Amino acid sequence: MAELTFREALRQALREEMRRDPNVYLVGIAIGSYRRGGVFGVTEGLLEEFGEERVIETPISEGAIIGSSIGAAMLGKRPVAEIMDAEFLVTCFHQLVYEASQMRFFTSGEAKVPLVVRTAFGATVNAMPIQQQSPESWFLQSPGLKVVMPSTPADAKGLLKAAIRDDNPVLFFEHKKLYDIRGPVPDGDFVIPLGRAEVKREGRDVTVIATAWMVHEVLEAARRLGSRGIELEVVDLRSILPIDKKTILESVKKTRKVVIAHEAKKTGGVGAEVSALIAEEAFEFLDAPIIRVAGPDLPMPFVPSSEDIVQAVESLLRA
Amino acid sequence: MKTEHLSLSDLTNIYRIMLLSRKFEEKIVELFHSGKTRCFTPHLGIGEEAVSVGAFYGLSKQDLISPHYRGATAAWLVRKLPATELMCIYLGKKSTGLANTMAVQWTTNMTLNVIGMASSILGGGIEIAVGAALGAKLGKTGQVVVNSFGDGTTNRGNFHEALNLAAVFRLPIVFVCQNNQWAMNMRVAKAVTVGKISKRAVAYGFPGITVDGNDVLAVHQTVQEAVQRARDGLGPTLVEAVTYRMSPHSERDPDQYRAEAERRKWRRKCPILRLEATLKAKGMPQEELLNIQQNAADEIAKAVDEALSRPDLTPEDRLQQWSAIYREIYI
Repeated sequence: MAELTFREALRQALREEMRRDPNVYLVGIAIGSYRRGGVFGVTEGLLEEFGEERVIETPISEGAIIGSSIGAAMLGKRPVAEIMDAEFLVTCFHQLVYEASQMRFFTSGEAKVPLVVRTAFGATVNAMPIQQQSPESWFLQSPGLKVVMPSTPADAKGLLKAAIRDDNPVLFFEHKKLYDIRGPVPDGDFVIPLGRAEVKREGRDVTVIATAWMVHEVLEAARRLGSRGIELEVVDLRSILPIDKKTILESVKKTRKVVIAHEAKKTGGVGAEVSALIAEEAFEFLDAPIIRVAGPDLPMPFVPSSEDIVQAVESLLRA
Repeated sequence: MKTEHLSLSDLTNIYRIMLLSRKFEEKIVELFHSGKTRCFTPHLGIGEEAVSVGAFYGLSKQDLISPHYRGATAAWLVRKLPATELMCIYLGKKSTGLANTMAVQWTTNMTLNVIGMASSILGGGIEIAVGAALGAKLGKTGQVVVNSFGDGTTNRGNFHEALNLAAVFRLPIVFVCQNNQWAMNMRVAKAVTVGKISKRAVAYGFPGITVDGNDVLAVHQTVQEAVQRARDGLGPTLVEAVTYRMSPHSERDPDQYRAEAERRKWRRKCPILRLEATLKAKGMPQEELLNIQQNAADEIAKAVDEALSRPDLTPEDRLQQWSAIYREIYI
């Protein structure tokens, strides 16, 4: 098992899948010769290995990138499109939420769209209003899509490989603060099924459910609280569409107290969906109201920290 | 009309398909206004048949077509979808054959190599068609894509993104703008300042050609030349076929914004009557023309009867079918 950065793990997944299946190709803006393989360096070296027919650089046309990837996917290709920043997803929103997600339904299953859309998201600088968005919950209303948000290098590799092999459109959100983190990554053909959460830390006192970078803030909070004898159970959703109900409910039934943490705005965020799910299916197990730690409903990202999570847990234990 | 490039049997076949499309859509008007349809409000292409038939006729079966919603009837008939099945979609009936999988009449049918939208957002189909051309090029399949859309769609951003992408990748695609001169209640001249829509191709560096869209043979010949260009690896062409929207925008449109005189003028330019005149000039006996007309009318009447005898496709059926797909996707 190698120690890789999140970025290297993604690249390894792309390289392995491109070697395995000649139908897999990459398409996007500045993913080849720019800097060291894209703005975030994920695709470094792939143009050299696979050539211009499989690492396709496009004009600045996100709508046409996704729209055309849908058409190619319907013909049996397996495009992996890169939308440089999640802020730009609005420019291909139509293509994702109506064409890609609905095609299989509209054709009664006849046409499939095996498309992966990788996008960098999240805040690197608190309160900077440009290219710091977390718009993942917009896509929860688009049945047909899958939405993945890895938090570790191993998950990045295993989930990206699964996404590329999936016959459905998958949105793959890569938090920008994760690209440089390191972790063990299994060698070879390591695939993690989509739609399964993972308990990243076991604990008896409070369940904290989180995604992407926020998983690391929660783990930091767990370390601090652990030294005071408070044991957090940390559930990393990994996929938000579909949501792994089983893992969530099992943890809630064990700890009976829940905090949900994400960077996206509170109203209509993934936390709202998870809270509703718990209220519907495990209300009688709760000892206290659910607390959501999320960004405020403001245009800029104001990202919660481990301190906010510690405070939320403390207030829950006081209740 | 130039006819040298087509045999008499092709000309007869083209005439037959145009007539079928006309009679089919006239029947839809009647069924819709007597409350017998169960579908999205029909947006019909009566009077515009020459564009679809001319553009999509004579391709190989492997070539992909991506028709505009207005004109899709004729496109399906070119691809030999039985009229009964298409009728089932309009009447909300269960189809048992090729249309069985289609939720709306402008979507995809992979068996017939028709690539369409899964929404009603104009321009989406152009991007998907460009992607199909990209897939064909990457896969070296030799397929060409012919995609049609209305004049109104050429004002949308995705038209421009898609044409530019097709140009820079030199994709095997022919874009056919079905300019019927009206986008809902807006005259094309008020929406486009360059005069001819084909001029827009200049921005992407590939040929743009304007053709009489009521002359089915001119449309056919122009598109076929563009198809050859695409097949030869020379990239896209934009063909603007100028026709006229005889139908209202949709069957719910009272159509009060244009003069009857304008419609009357275009009725005389009917593409079917024009082809009929050509066939007569080529020596086709009146009796044979009447025979083709009668057969088309019979075929549509039979399609209605057969479709009406099919069981309803109920909301519960659709819910069950789509729920099963949902389970396939997520489990």
